[in-house]
Amino acid sequence: MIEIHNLTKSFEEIKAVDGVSVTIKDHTVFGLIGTNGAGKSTVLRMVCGVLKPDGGTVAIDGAPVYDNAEVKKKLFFIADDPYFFSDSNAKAMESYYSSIYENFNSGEFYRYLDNFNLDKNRKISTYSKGMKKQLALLLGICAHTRYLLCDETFDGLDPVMRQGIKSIFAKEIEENGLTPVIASHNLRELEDICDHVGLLHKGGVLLSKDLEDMKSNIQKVQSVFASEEDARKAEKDMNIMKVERRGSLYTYTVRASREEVIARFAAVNTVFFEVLPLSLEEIFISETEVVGYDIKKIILG
Amino acid sequence: MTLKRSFWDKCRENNKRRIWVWAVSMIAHLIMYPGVTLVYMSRIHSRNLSGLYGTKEIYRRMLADAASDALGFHTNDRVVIMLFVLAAVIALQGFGWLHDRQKLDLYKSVPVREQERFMVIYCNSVLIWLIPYAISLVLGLLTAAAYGAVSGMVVGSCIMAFVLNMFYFLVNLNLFILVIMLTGNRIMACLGFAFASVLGEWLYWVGGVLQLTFFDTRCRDFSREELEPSILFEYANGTYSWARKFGSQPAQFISGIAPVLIKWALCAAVLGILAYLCYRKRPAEMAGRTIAYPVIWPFLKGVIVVSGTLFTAYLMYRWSEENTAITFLTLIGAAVLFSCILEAVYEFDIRAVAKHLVSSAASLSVSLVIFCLFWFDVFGYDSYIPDQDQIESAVVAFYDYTQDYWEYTEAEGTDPDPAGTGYETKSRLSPFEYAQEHMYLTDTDAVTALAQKGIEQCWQRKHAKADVSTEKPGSYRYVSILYRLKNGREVSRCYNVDLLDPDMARIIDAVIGTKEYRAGVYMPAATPQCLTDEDTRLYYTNGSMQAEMDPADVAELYQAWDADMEGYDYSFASANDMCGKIMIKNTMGTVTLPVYESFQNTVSLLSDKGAYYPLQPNLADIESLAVTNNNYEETGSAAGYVTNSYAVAEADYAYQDGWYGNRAVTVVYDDPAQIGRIMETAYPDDFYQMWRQKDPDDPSYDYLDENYTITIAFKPDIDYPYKKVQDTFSLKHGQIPDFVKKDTAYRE
Repeated sequence: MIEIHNLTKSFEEIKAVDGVSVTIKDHTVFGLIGTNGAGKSTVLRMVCGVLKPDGGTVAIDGAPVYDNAEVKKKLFFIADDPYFFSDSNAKAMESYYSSIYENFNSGEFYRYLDNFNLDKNRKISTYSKGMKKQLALLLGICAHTRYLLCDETFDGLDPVMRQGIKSIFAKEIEENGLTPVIASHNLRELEDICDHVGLLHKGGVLLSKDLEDMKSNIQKVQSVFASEEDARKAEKDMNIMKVERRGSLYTYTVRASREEVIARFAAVNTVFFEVLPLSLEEIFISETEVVGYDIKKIILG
Repeated sequence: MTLKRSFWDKCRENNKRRIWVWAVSMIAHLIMYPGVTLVYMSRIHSRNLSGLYGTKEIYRRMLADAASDALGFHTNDRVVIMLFVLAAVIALQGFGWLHDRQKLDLYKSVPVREQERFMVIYCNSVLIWLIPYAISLVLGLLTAAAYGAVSGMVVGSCIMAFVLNMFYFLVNLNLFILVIMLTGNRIMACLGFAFASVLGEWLYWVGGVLQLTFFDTRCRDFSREELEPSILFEYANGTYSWARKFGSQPAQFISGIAPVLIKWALCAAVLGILAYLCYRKRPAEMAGRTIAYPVIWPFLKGVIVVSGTLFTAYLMYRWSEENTAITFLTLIGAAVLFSCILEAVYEFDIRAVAKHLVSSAASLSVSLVIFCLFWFDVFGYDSYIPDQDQIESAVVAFYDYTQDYWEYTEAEGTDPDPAGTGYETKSRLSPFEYAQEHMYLTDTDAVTALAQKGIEQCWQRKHAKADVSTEKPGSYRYVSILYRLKNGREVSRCYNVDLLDPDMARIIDAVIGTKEYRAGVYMPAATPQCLTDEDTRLYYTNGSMQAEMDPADVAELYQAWDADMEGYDYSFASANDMCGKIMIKNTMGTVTLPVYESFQNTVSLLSDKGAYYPLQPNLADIESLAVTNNNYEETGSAAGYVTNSYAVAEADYAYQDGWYGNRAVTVVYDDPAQIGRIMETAYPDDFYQMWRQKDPDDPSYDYLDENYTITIAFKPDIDYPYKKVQDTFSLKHGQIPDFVKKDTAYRE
């Protein structure tokens, strides 16, 4: 488990990370969402021990990570612009990482290279940007560390590759207990991968929740009531996050379980009501609007 | 699966990414050692084939010297530069990743202990230099051995060079690593390394020029007293100066060089430890910035701004001819300008020129304070004389006088000249260094009285704004004094003393009329080495002729001369003309002993040995005299002295209009009567009359007149037991025959 507590980091006058506290549970895919400059990379670089926090703590399984080689054995960091040795090829990188990581599986690495059509003898400098990211991901996966920290690694990967990587992640989570932590500025890119999402904004965490919890605890309901009084009855004591009305059609975003919502609306006189599924985007919009942010501006531009 | 790798496995892994540096190091060493050795050996071999060296013994010595020069201690600037550049390249390639965010993300996130990573890169850095050096050295020795040039001395020299090179390399490597840790990008690291390498020399130099400008008594003659502020320059200058300082014998040299090596080792260790500590503390986010530790910036900026400002102000002080307003404006302007430039560089933004105003103001203030400390001599540098009870002994060296009697020499014909740069200088010590080593004046009353007089005259001249070069030309002498203090320190001061001062004769008599003084000027003649040196040559000259004597007579002649010198002092020397010189030449240099007609023991012994010859040549042997009057009063200065007078010596009268408005007139005399009259007042040019100093206003003034030069043409058929060495004389001022004046006067 990665425990981040009250983490702060400043670069001269700029406060890049301001009091971030997040817990990343094992065997989940954790997504770290935020705009450019939100502090995602800085958080990840502190989590992997590249940067020393100004304040707060980062602990992996209870041990601090900075300047701690033993703890770093448990993680692999893929930077947003990963470095490969000059004039090297995939074989040379495999040679390096296999000398560093005890559990690096070279056979598996070469199998994956074949599967992803990456030439092990070709100079990495001639790879495309996407190919470099694939290579970095494969190196990270084959290092068989417990935590794989990916900084904007999925940006730019084509859907087929994303699906391939997603499958490998699923396999690794199941077989080896891998915990990927993926930072991205694009919510849609993480929607189908992450189990848990943390939203960073201006150096702080706006929210951090399981996607399933969020999905099960927020419902969108559309209803036409028999009377205004019925509408008031339905709304009473409900944790309504947002309400829209078009003519007689009410649309509610409600913080409650699906069962609770159905029970409440069944109890009042409605002409029609329906509980609709929310997309991750809608959930975020609702959650962040509650705390006063316009998520469209933060994530979606 | 558990991965257990040894330290050397990790080094090997690291070396995979350092192959090109290995290649650079290997190529550089191969060129520098076996390559240069082969060139030297083949050059000497071909010279030998053309019969240049005569004997096999000389040929072997040439080869051995060349091998030593190419591989051993007599390495030179090319090796120093190679070591410096290699250290920079190796350090930057090894630790440059700290300046690159991409690489930092990789290296800092992988499970490798920082200490281990540092040690792996560091050890590899040393090996990248060491292994190519060792291989090249062996190949170089094999190359030399193929020519039969390897001897014990050559191997010993190689070992000594190896130790020196190693420490020197480590100092530079560690310095550059430290600079890498302190900076944020490669350009700044390279600039920082260059700056750090010359910083000591630069600060010392700026301090030196300020001292020389504002302190009239600043002295730099006793080089052994001088600090060596930069190891870079210490090694570049060291190979020859060390040989002179420490001697050529291995044991002597090793004991002499040991403190230097200890200093380098300590320096390397301190720099290495600092580099490691900075490595451990270096914030990764500083990659790409100018400085990795912003806290050092104000100090760094201060050093650059203050030293640059002081130097600029010094230049303006000189150029403006000591104008106070311009100097102060320059001080302020330079400090502001340097601060702005540095801030723009630091922030990499021209708009940042006004940042860190506090440190800029502090730099300006410090510059002003330091400049004023020098300008107004706040600490009394010029008036400093140590307390009598602090002085253990002293050295006094009169500049011209010392130089005349102990000079550098060349060991003619013995040098292999492998690099083809001319004869090798075999001299070991400068006159000042010799005096520093051998002169121990214990009558410090006389020395401090001389210093006191020098200070008084200095102040008088300062208040009168008088210039030594124009005031009473020729009456001033430059004297350097070194005090050895009881606390072990050595302090030196120099003075321009006016020999016409009424007290001066008494003071100088007390200094130079002592055996202790002579020990620091003449003693080389009596040293066991001089007496036993098989290369010693003994000569006596009267200024125009030179007789070579049996070197076995050195000790006896020196004893006689030393006895005669008991009555010698300034009063004696200033009242008498030398009649000849004894010259003892050997591999150490040339020792010149003055001989006066009143030196009965010496003259008698020289006569017995058949070497004495009167000062004046036999008039019957002279065919003609060419007298040249340079007419300096016509041109305004001696700068107009550009002559080809010798070319017209055969003509009765000639006039040349030279490059600088030359007004020299040469007249050739062949009338015996005129020759006799001229020779009465002639004196050998070579016998520089150091102490013959009298007031130009005094009618009896008989110092040599710089206007006149006489060239003697001897008859071709005469047979001398002497070798003719000099045929130019000068005329004594105030005694020049009227007909000479008239004949040689300048006419439009």
